[in-house]
Amino acid sequence: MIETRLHGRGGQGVVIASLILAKAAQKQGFSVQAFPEFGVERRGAPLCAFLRLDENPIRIRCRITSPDHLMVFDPYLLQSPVLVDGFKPSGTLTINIGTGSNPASQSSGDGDKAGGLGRGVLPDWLKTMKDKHNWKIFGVEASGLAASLGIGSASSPVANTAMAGAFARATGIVSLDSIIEAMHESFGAEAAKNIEAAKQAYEKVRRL
Amino acid sequence: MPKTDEQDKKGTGATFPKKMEPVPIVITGNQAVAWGAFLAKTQVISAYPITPQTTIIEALAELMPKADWPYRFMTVESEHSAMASLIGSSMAAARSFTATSSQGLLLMHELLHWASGARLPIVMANVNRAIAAPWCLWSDQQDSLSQRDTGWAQIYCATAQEALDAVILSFRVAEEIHLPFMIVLDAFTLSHTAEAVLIPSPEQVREFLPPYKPPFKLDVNEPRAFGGLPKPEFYEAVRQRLDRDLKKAESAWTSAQASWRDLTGRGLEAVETYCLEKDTEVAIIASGAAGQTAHAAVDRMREASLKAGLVIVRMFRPFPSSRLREVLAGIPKIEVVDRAFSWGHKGIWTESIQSAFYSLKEDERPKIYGYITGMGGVDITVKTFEWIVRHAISRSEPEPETVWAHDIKENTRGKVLAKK
Repeated sequence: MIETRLHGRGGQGVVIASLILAKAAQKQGFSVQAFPEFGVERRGAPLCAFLRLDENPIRIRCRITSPDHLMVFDPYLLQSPVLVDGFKPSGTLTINIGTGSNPASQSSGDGDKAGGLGRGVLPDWLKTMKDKHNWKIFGVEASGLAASLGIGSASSPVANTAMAGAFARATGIVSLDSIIEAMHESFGAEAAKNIEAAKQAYEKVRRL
Repeated sequence: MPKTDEQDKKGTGATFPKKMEPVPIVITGNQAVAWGAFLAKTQVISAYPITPQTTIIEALAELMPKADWPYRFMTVESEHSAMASLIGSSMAAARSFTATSSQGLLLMHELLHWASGARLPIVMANVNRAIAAPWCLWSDQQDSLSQRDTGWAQIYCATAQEALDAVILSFRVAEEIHLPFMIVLDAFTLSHTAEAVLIPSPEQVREFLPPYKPPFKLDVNEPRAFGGLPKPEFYEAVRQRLDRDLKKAESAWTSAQASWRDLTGRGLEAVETYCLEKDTEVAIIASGAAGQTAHAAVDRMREASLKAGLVIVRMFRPFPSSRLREVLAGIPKIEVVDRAFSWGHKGIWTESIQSAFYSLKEDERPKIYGYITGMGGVDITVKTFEWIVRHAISRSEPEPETVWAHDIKENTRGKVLAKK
């Protein structure tokens, strides 16, 4: 069983990202389960979603408390170590560091509010834990990519499809091809630019 | 027929899969319910939105325009009106469907009695959501189990596939015994969880579920009186028949799900068992999505040499008492996992299970342990089941009162802390 927890904010497409990755993984023969941590939905409020993949049928239907992998859609959320609760050793953490011009997560000028992540610099606590637990940390300017492709609005780009592409490269579990196929089926006329975002993120994601 | 080449724009799976051979699509439990109602060729849908049910009706709103049969989709001003309008449409012999949750179901209560009393085969999906006050969005079974005595059959689903299949099976059995069916699914852990689901072909469903043709119907060209005021003796006889016929739902369901298995390869038994062996010391009784987690928990406990087994009960009304006595014969301890309470008494499933075994001689009766967990969406994990199994194994007699599993958890944490 491979368990992934996705952290972001309402409006960033976190739940859809978990769904696209599930659809893609299912095409590769995985049993899949994708679901949101459901709270009172509000744009901008922190939220998370869960993704389970397994070669065998998935039975458990509880939240994911010890994820193998993490995805963080807003680096500001990493001001709090609570986000990495239960994160397993040797896991892969994919972070959206390219924050576009979303006012909630602006990197220009005050990147230090995100512990330097806005500039791709890991905060000290994360560096320490990364070395201790042998985590692999990847960064991608997902919001910037989304904004340049006109996904979402200029002030609130939707980074989810770029993040899916970055996750594919960082973990190697789900292939870019199956993500593209899943987006083709799910997004209709919107598919093209989202596929482009996933492709570019796949190319540009880098180890931090 | 519905187009097969159209892309699914919103990702809700609102088109037939391109290939009609069994290819699963990834959809949520709520979308699966909508598919079930669509494939059953529902003729009247009347609903009012409430979280976490709303996405059923949203998915139906996308699916129904593809219908090649006459239908009416009504958005009404309350759940009470939703059920009232279906009582009318079902009396006029239209296959009728709605979905609701929590407070919405409670608002329908008066009309639930009317629907069963009038012998109308309405099918309703209830997404289990805890009841206020205080407000809660998450799952427990208080809403549906509070409707225990309304004369509706109740089927608890554990997967999205089960939810889809249950809608189609429910229409078939409801129309056979002339009583309404409630299919029940957990909020979020099932309703909003996306997983692979096989969509049956319209041909398969057509073969399984013929059009609804009741012996009497509301028809302006052939006027009749319905539900008028009978004398007490006649009223009593009608009520007796209601019980007799609701009890028939169990055998009707058993044979319907066997035909469904022949057609699709998937059965949906009223009672499903796992790891009930000669050595089983404790059998967990669970329902809904938590039953799936219990299944995984039993696997882990067996690896750790804990002799646990599992019964997933899908049918709550009519209550499959004799089937439960049969499958649990010889098991010394039963632990019932409840997610709803009859306040001032005990867990609602526990009460029904205890009454099912009371007819046995005292020395043949298993010891029945009642637990409550997962109220208001408290996460039910593999560990939760391990805790309660160890709790029952370590006690030769059940506690006099229902045990709240979070108390056990705290005790366990307490012990761990004390050791440190």
